[in-house]
Amino acid sequence: MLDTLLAGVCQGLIWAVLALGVYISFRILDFADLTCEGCITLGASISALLIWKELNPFLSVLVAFLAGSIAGTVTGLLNTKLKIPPILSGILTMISLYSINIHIMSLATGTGGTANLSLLTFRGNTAYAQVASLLGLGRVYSSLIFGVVVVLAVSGVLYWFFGTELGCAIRATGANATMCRSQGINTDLTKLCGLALSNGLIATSGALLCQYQNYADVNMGVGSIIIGLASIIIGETLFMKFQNFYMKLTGVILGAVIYRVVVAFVIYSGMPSTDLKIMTAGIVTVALALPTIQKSIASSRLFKKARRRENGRREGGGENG
Amino acid sequence: MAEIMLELRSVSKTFNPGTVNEKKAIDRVSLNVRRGDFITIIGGNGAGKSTLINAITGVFQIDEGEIILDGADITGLPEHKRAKHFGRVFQDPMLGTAPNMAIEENLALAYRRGKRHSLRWGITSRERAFYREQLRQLELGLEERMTQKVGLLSGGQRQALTLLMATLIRPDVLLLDEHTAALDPKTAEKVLKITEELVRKDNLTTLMVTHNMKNAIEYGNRLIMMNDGRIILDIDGEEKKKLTVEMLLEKFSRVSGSEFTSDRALLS
Amino acid sequence: MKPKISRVLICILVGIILLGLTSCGREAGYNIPIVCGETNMNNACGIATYGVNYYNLGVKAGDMAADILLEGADVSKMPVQFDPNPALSVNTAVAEEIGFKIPEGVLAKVTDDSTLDVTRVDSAIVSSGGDFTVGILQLVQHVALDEANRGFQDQLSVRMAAAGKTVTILSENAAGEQSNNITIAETFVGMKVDLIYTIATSSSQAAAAATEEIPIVFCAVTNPIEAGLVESLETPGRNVTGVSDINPVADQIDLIAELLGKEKITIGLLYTASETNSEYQIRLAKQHCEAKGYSYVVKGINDLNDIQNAFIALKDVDAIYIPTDNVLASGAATVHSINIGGQ
Repeated sequence: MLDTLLAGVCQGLIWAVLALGVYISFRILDFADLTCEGCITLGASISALLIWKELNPFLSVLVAFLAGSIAGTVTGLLNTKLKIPPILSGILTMISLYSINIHIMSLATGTGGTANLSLLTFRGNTAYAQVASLLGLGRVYSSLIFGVVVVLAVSGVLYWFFGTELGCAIRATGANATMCRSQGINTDLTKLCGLALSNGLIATSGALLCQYQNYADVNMGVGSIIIGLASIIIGETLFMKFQNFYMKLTGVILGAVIYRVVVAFVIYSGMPSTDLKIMTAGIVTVALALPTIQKSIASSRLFKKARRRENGRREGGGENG
Repeated sequence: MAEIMLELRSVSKTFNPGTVNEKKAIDRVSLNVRRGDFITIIGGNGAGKSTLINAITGVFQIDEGEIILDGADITGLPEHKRAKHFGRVFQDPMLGTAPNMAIEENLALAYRRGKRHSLRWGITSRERAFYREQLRQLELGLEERMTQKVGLLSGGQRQALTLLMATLIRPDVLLLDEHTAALDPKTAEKVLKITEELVRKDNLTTLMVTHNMKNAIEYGNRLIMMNDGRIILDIDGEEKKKLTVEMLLEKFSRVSGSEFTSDRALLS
Repeated sequence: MKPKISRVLICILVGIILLGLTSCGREAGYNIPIVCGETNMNNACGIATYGVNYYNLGVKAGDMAADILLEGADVSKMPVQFDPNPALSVNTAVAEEIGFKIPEGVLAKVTDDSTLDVTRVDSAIVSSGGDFTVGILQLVQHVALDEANRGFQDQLSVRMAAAGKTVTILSENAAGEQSNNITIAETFVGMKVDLIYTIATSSSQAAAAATEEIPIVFCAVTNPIEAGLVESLETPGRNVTGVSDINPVADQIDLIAELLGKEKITIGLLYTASETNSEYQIRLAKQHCEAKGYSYVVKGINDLNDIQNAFIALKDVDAIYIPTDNVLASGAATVHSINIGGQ
């Protein structure tokens, strides 16, 4: 059971990078960016292609980040320059990436129409495999350590970045674009930066995922935006009390890990996995409703207390009167 | 140093041209704002007051005319490029600040108005001391709450903060667009006092749009009344000091040939 | 004068249109017998074919799994298998349209349903505590994949019962989300199952990534080599083997020879150049033609607009073979109408 749990944490850490990317666009920039599903596959395809061409797998992750940034910039340009609504901009980029990803994977095999690229023949050359041989631990434990290091590095960089002038400008753009423009901030530019960063992270998680599961497939992004949003919501609900930005990032990361572990647990306990989707909806609903439920329990307690006091007074008065 | 700080030459703007909703919001408006002028702008609904402010700051591009600021033609510049010259306070207290960021972070943003936003750290400890000093002058106790989110402040406090943000870097022109309209009378009074102090301290060139005729007469050295997108009255200096509300109404009906019909302006 | 001129113009226009229509007419059709790799496409434009039955694939996989569990067979040396009993179907309607007579010998072999008859032994499958534990990972709910699942479980139960053993089966479905593939696979590994049965390519890849020790039997993977699951079809080389759902290309090429009833034949191989699976099948077709001494002409198209030109290039062949191909399948009606003449 421990192995299953740890494997769930490993995957959760990969999805945490994606969740952080989604957090930047959805929460910080207040931009409903749906490029996600195409972008995670983009990162995976590029990483897989570069590993096929025998490039350093760690370097391939960085290239994936750059590719994702470009995709995010495209979405941003569609919105800022062509005035296409945010959701549509994301969808347009996502749809285009489907074809682009197939082309990228075809570059590896040399035959057009490749929709699936396997890394199983390059087992030793993925980042996870190299870390495992470096540390001499099994697949699960080395992946865990690698995942933790990556997540700490990413969240550290994000925490630093959003404290810089540019980072503050991006945060302000998401909060109040009108004010920003009157304060001389080029909101078009800050939006592009934010989206580039967000999608760069999503592509990075795609690259990591592809190296973890040893294949890239053009449909592997399906459902990823839901996973990202669910992670964010779970994290926000658990860490509601904390206002600190770093705690917010930690919340997102923990939300992603918890979500993946719960899914693994659902499967482990023998619950039919066809019910996986309704279970996800159930978890997210509970997470969202928790504050409301807590409030109503607290207020009903107060109400009962007041009622008891009132009755007590009336009875006492009745006796004396 | 030019005597005229801001000059509008025959500026016009029509919204929704060619449709049912077509409206000529400002019609060949010309205005010379001298350095140090504190101009109050009044007018009924739809007179074009806010449109004039938006045209100056560049929220939209004008259809015809020129806008010259301190000798330089800024007509073609986008809003964020003009921003370093203007300090602006909106009518809606929500619009002037970022609610989920701290007071000091909002001030840091205002402090960098017009400068490039690089990867330098957002706020330094020297800046914090500076902000604390500035906040103290508002006498609202905000200097003790610098790390709190702005969303927790009341409307009046937010407007005061927005005012401070508008003047933190000395603007060429301060633009106030009915900035006390959404506040209760007591708070509005306080904010106006703060406004007057800030303007006087730095001798700021100011344009203040107000719906309150009393305030328009009481504050500033020059009064402009707009109607139907045009400036119909421009009263200056001594003549302004002698103004009363009745005199203004009479002047209005004489010039425009109609009754002034803004309840807000009359009853407040 | 204006109304008169416009009336004259209209008459001329109508005349031109009528002339065009009549002169277009029906060209002489190519009427070449076509055999398609996939049954549905064959129903639209082909005259006969062998179809893959997913239940049978599952049964074969169940057999392989039983060999591994009960007899300790070495996974790395178990060759990849194919449909043991493909179903022969003929399309007499299309055959008539192109004026082709299907030989009696072929008609006699036609079956409606080639599903193997396997009776499930329920007592061999226990919900927990069986002698063996098998984890099943299916990518998505889908008729073909469900049949592959059912066939596997039925056959496994039969083999287990015969050996006097029981098996616990954990059947999981990724619900179409590939992110669940690796989660389910690693859960199985954590539970230390004895064997993992995967249905569909990405599920198989995830399982292969999750473990290099636990034996994996896959099903419904069209091209296991390209998917990186095996090193070669004869010798997988690792802990992964299984059953491919590729249509029986060799059987289908042989069928062409049987339909034509002569030895020296030229087969036209028509496919979409950008589809990897089609390319793979054409490769197998070429290999088989060379082995059997048939000549062939290969024509790859880019999209449906090229079909006209393809037929012109293939007009002299004895028969055309079209593999399981997405683009051509979507244009099956076009292929048929060009073949019988006209557009």
